[in-house]
Amino acid sequence: MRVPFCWLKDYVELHESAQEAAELLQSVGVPVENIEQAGASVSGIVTCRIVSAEKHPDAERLLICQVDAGSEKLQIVTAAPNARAGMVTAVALHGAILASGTKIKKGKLRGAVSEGMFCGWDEAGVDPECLPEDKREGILDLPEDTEIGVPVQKVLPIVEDILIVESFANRADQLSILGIARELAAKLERPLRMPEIMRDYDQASINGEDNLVAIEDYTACPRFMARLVSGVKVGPSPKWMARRLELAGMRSINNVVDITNYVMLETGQPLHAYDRARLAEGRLIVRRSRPEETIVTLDSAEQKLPANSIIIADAEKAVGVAGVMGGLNTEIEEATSELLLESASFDNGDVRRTSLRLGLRTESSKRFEKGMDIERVIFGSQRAAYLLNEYAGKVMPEIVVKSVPQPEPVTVELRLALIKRVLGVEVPFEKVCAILRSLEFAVKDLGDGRLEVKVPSFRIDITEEIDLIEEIARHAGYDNLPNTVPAVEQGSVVFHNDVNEETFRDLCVKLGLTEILTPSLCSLEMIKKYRVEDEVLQIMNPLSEDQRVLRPCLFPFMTNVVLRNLRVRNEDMRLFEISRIYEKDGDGVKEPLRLGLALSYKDADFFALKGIVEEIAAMLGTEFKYVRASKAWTHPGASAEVMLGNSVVGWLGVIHPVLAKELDLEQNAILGELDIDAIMAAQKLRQYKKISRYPSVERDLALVMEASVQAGDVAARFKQVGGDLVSEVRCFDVYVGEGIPAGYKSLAFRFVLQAMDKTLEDEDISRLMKKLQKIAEREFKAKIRE
Amino acid sequence: MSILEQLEQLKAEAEREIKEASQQSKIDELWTKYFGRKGGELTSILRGVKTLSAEERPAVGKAANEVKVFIEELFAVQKEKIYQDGLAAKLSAEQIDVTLPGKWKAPGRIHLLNITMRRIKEVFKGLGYSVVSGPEIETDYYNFEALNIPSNHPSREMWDSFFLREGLLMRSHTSPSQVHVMEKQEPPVRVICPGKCYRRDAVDATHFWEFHQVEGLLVDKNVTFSDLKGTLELFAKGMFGHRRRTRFNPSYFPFTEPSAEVMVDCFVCDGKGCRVCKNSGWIEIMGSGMVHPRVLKGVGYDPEKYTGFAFGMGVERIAMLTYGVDDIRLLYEDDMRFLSQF
Repeated sequence: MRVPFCWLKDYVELHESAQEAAELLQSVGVPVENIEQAGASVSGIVTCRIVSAEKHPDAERLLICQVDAGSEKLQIVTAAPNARAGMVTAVALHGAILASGTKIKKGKLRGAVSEGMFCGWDEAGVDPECLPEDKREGILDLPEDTEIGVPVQKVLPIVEDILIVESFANRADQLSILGIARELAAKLERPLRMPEIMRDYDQASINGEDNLVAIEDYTACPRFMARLVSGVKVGPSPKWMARRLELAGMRSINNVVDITNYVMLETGQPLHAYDRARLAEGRLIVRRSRPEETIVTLDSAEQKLPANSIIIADAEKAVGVAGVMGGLNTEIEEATSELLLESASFDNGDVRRTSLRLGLRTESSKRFEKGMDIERVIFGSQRAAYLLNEYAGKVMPEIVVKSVPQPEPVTVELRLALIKRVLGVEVPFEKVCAILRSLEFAVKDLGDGRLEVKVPSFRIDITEEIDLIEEIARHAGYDNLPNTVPAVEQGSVVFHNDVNEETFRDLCVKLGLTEILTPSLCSLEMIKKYRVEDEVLQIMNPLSEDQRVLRPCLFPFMTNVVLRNLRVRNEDMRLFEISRIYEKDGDGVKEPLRLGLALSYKDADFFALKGIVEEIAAMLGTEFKYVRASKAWTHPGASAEVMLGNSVVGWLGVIHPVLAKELDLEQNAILGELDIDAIMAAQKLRQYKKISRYPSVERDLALVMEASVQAGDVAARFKQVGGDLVSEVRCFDVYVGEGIPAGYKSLAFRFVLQAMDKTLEDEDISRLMKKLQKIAEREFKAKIRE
Repeated sequence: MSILEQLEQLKAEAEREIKEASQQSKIDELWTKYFGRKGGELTSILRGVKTLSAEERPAVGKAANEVKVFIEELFAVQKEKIYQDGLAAKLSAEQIDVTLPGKWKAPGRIHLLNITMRRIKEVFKGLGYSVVSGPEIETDYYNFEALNIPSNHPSREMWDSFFLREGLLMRSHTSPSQVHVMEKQEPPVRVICPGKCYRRDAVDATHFWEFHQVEGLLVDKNVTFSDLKGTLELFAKGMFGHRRRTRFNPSYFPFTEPSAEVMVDCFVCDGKGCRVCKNSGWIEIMGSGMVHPRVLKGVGYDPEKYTGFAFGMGVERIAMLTYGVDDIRLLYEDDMRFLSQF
């Protein structure tokens, strides 16, 4: 909400600057987001003296003035009735910008050159309240001794501070300048000055027979106050009011509409004025909309009313969407002579629903949505009546109030002991009472450290004891409370469930991988593009299709990161991401933790990523098996499933060349994913493995065998046969080419041999190697390579 | 020429030659010339001594030995001299430009967000908090109802959520984790719940539809609002430096009361006013408050017996403030030039 500082000062005496007031408000929980300065853009307006003023030869009402603007002498043609020779005023020079944003240019008026324009306070953006009351018409009439030729900002306050106040969802009362002033007054311990109202409630016909208003549904409209104003003269608003509305961000329309808006901003009570002559039978009915009923609202849009919306109607047709916007058919026009003023309270849920369905959110609906104070219906009407009587017409004695019975005020019992228990310090009894009273709560001492607190009707947010404690805390000042550290009893068990995630993060970083972060939501198109066929969880109400799917895997996102980086010539990527993925699990859902891996750099190959995965296993003290198996998105010949025991805990592979081509991926990418939760769940307590004190020896064995034989199978068999003596066996070279028949390959194995209990003799070694060779020949049809 | 004369001549010649030698290879060559097993000049003479008569042998033997020691000494001195001369040249030739870039290939990096997340967790772990994270897909009950946000409550607008179906949604804050924790254990409770949250926000420099929060909760007997203030001040000092000060402004969350937003004096400008703190000298770092009695009641805790405080902070926001990152999208774009800076 935009709160012009000058307006706030109507209700509370302030010597403080806008900045200071903002800080005070902040300290009691009225957040001031920002202080804007209106009029800051005014430029090129300088003070000047009219040296002479002569009638324009060709125009009765124009004056040609010679003007002294300090360093410049100008000729200005004006129509201002109060312009006269010798007067000190202000002139907008060629190129000047007025408060309205209009740019002034030199020109000719009926043939006479005019080098600028004299300014009134509104054009110069001056606060009229700083001018004497008899000098607020026409162009500025400044004191004789005003310095000439200086920017008008130097002699008059042009810049107006506007507090941009955010209000919390629970504080319906804070959507009014008066409500904000109340908090400030309480904080400063100064009285709140209420605006003038027409005190005519005692004349009202309450729930009587009348032909003005009928309420069909009191749940939707618990209170409605209607009054008549006749002899209305619709015209421009008083300038001060128009200015305030504009500072507050509303357009000035005419005196009647402006008054309803002004009172809404001031008191928080939305109001609406109907042209009574255009109301069929001159009366209003609050009812639910009928099927297919439509209305053209004030913004000229034809609205199909959602079934069962609360509307205002006359005897024939809808004339307003209750609490949202009035109808064009009964709008106040220049010809309006009698109006009917509505001040009502509508159910917040009803208004919210209608406003949502129509996609029409207005200043009025915003206020109703937060919940209404039905007392304010009367206050708002009386305030508007006062202003209408002053500026628009004659308020008539016909006043009708339709209302549910007056609700009992909410009463809450407050224990002083609870204040200490929650805040940690004692707040003196007198202080508690003073704070509550300054916020217009009625307080009665019940003895025994108990208070009976009556809640004012506008504080619909206060219903229980803890609410009152917050009131006391914020007005006592949070910063005045001590800072202490809780004395928690022993027995709060410390247990961290981020261990899996953090363990893997550390492992990956040690292995030279860089962590990335990608979104969990994506489009259906994206996972289809990557050939992911899983059944996915979907969002019902995404803002865009990019938020449709909860991702079932990580690799498409990692590949996208590779693609994005290649585009900006970052060509060395070793990436990991740790994130949940989302799966259906019967009727429910599962969110397992995944590790995503991606390598893309010159020469990156399958074994580069496998090496990383092997090392992850080694660092966890376990070992994976790798079984050839491909996914729709991986190279059928260069991908594997990662097994831990008998279960699959991940996959890795080179991206499928066709997919790479579709993606315009110009550098090879090796991808993989591991199921962190499954791997960590299989973790056992790690036991120390004995180290032999006897020397080890190395032996190599080069074997030629059919190309289809897998090195891993051979090595595993060697290990099995060799038993404890083979402490390590690995295939360190694969050779195909000259000397090897087609369809065959040569595999070179290196063995590390060692015994726990002795130094191996040559004899032991050659016996073992012979045995291994025989196994190879028999089981894998291998031949020793010569 | 007598042997003695030969020795004299050899001594003189060796002295001249060795002293002239300026390279190790020359020294090696001369060593062979004099001491070589085959044909070494001194070696031959020494061998010749054996053939002398018994009378001649002692005097010649002695002289020959003296010459041998003398020449050996010469070799040693000259060798040392050559080494020393060579060393200076070698050191000077091996001089490098130490301002050239280093060759170490950097190891992996943790994402900026998780660097920040880890720092937050570390501070609270130090204060005795457990780390417990709840699910990202939540029911309406945990995300709203249990947190005193009934349906149709105007405050629901504070959290515009993604729904999977009626009643099932992507959590819009980490606060539901509080409820899970309290349902599982009796007080005292002292946990932080980090994790990802989702909101239907339009994407701009400070908003993304996904973000991370760290939620905190402490419930026990006699926990007060002053304890909340003291604890969060400790956090601010642990996270942003021991000189930091905090300020608390009233705020509103349906699940806490009294509620407070926590401000820390700007760690970029030391509170003097800068772009980061929008010249106010203060930066908002989190929301907090005393757990609402209705939330306690909802999980079966007796609010007359227990009180507690809760807090929640946006990790992206803190990471961005700390490192001066001005667009949240940078965190999710994963440009290597960005990632490698942290």
